[in-house]
Amino acid sequence: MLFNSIEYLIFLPTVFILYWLLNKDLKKQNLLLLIASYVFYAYWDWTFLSLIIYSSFIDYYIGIKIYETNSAKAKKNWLRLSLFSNLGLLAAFKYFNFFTESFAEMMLLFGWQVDHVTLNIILPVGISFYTFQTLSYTIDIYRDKLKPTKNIVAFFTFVSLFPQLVAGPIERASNLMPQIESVRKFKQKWFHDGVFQIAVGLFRKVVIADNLGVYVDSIYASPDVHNSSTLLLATIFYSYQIYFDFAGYSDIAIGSAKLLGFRFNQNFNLPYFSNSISDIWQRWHISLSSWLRDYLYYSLGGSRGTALFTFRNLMLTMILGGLWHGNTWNFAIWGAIHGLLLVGEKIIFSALKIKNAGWFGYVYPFWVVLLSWVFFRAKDFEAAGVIIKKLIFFDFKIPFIGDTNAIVTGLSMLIIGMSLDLYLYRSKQELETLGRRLTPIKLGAVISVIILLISLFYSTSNNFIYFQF
Amino acid sequence: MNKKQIINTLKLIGFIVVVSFIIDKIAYFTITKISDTVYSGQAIGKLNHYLAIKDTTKLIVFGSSRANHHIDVKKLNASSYNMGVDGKFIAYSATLIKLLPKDLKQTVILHVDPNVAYREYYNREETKTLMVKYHTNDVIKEELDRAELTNPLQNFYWCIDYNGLVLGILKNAVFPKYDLEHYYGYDPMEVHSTQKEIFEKILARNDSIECKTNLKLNPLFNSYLKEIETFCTNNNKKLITITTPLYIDKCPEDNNALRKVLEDLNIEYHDYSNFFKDNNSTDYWIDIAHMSDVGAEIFSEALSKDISIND
Repeated sequence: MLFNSIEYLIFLPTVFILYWLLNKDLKKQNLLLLIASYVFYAYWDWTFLSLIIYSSFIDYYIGIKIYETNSAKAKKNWLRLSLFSNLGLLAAFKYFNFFTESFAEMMLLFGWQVDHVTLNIILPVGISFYTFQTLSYTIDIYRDKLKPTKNIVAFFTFVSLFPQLVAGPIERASNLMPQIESVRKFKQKWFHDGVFQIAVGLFRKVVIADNLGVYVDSIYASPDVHNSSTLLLATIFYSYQIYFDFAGYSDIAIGSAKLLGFRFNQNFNLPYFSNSISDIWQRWHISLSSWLRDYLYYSLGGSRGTALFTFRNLMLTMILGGLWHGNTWNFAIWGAIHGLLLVGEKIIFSALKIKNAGWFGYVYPFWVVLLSWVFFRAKDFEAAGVIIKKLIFFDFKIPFIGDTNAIVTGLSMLIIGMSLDLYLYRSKQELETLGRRLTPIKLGAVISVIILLISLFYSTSNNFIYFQF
Repeated sequence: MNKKQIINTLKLIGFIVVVSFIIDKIAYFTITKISDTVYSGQAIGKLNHYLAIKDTTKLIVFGSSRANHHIDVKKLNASSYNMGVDGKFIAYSATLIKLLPKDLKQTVILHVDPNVAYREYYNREETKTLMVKYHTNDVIKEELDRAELTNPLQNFYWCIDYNGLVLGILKNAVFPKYDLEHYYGYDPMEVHSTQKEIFEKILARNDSIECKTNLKLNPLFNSYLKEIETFCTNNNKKLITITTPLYIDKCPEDNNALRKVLEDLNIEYHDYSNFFKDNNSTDYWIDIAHMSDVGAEIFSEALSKDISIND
């Protein structure tokens, strides 16, 4: 079920009413959430529900085993089993074709023609998200940071809680499990925050991102026939499309959770107002970047060693983080570019003994990240190469506009979206708590205007981009 | 959730529903008032123009951008209008044809695209732009309801009728594109250097085309075609179908199949897909399927000799 569908518009209020009617019985409330979450997922494809149940069961059981076992070796073995089960699922469904094709291509470099098998595998929606979520649970128990739960319904609800099931935010058990296991109280200010954030999220997604996507899709479909300025314009649009698409999704997820009395962590914090590349990664898809930092970068040794060792860890983390997004080399390159940028920034800042680049820091991150988006969006490595070449050897020709209405609508709505971001940045406020700052009348009026803007300008051209990951 | 919280929550939801409904209606009637004065632009202006002239014009061309940019209707008849619109196909045309006056003798030229006729998926989504008249025109409302293209919220939020069109309406209200007195729906396209460069690159790429083998007429296309034929027969309209030129048509099979279908329905058909086969030039083209103003003028001249209607 999509957040921007009529079905969700019926689903969420229905769950909301039933949920608060069961307020006095936590067990029934959690069971309702579990059933609702499975319905939410099954609406897309019920057959893949079995994967979620499998993953939940494995980690529920292993979590208890790790905690109960006294032997360090046995603990490690249980953890290995959890890693193998979860990453095995990912490998089978997401990376099987990538591995076999890459192997065959590598053999071809040595002159050996290898017949490789590719399977027609459908990527189950949300698999990258919920496997990381359950992994964090077992790893935290292994690291003695968390005690396992014996409440199976609560754990299964943690894995499948519908606002974050298919595209995050990747919520840690340390944040979510205590909330699931304790009585939730309805808070009026949370309700205000939630409805406001859902409205803003919908606007960001269906109005800004989807309108920008119309132009981006048309240009990126045939990059070879377009000039440099057209490709630059499309890439700038894409950088905002993906931001508003995913930030919008996260807003609806966080807002929906708040209506049910759950506090999710912030997932986007105005990333295009960053003053360095490392700052971007503290503001963009925060739940993933912090997951990679805590469970991959630190596991590799983090910065506890020589500079070279730290750089290696950074590069590995970013490349694997890139591959988490998709099973092509484009994503690995995208990750590698970010790794190199982070390493380069560390070297330069350390040599100049500065913490950031001053005003210049607000300029360069956007433009270098912009180049990396080419690899993220281009359909393959060859297309990305064509675009990068044209952007580097710029031809200064007039950009191709195409559908004027779509481009003007996209730009106008982008200005509104960025104005809200600028307001949040200057006033040092967070979108997550903006709803409570408005009086009910102001809140109602603002949401009504947002509904009007959505009615007039929504576009249904694109699915949520992060669904494909 | 205590009683006070329930009341406050219901109050807020009720307030949002009421205020959003009122704001929506204020916006809807304001936009409608502006929109009704707009006579330029493909989405609204042309539709308004058509509704204004449809009862007095003798010859009207319907179809997609290929009808719009290729047929200079004044070469066919002095009392004529080109109602071809970018990205619009047979469902859109059929709806507009059904708005023609019942007894007036008129000629309907319908541009048919074999590629659309034999498309596996054709969902008549292009008729969505007629949504602007959803709450003001019964024929259009009926057609859109039948096509199941309306948004379930549309009966509450009427502004959805204008989804994606407001900026265009405002722009055309303030800066109309045409001199209305001289505009008759035909929009010739001049080739700009960027466009020409893109087209030449596409040609140089020499993409291979796979012709469809198992040709199956799209049932929706077939049904609309029959509806148009019935309407025209019953309402004193002469129906002529045409297919305008392509830069090159490597797959004539669908044209031949469509010709057979039209013959069976006893509908006059002229296929000009390979009109420029022997004397082609890139100057005549914007892209593979769209002629430039130069190509369109040459074609319209030839068309007028074939199907000139002067009464």
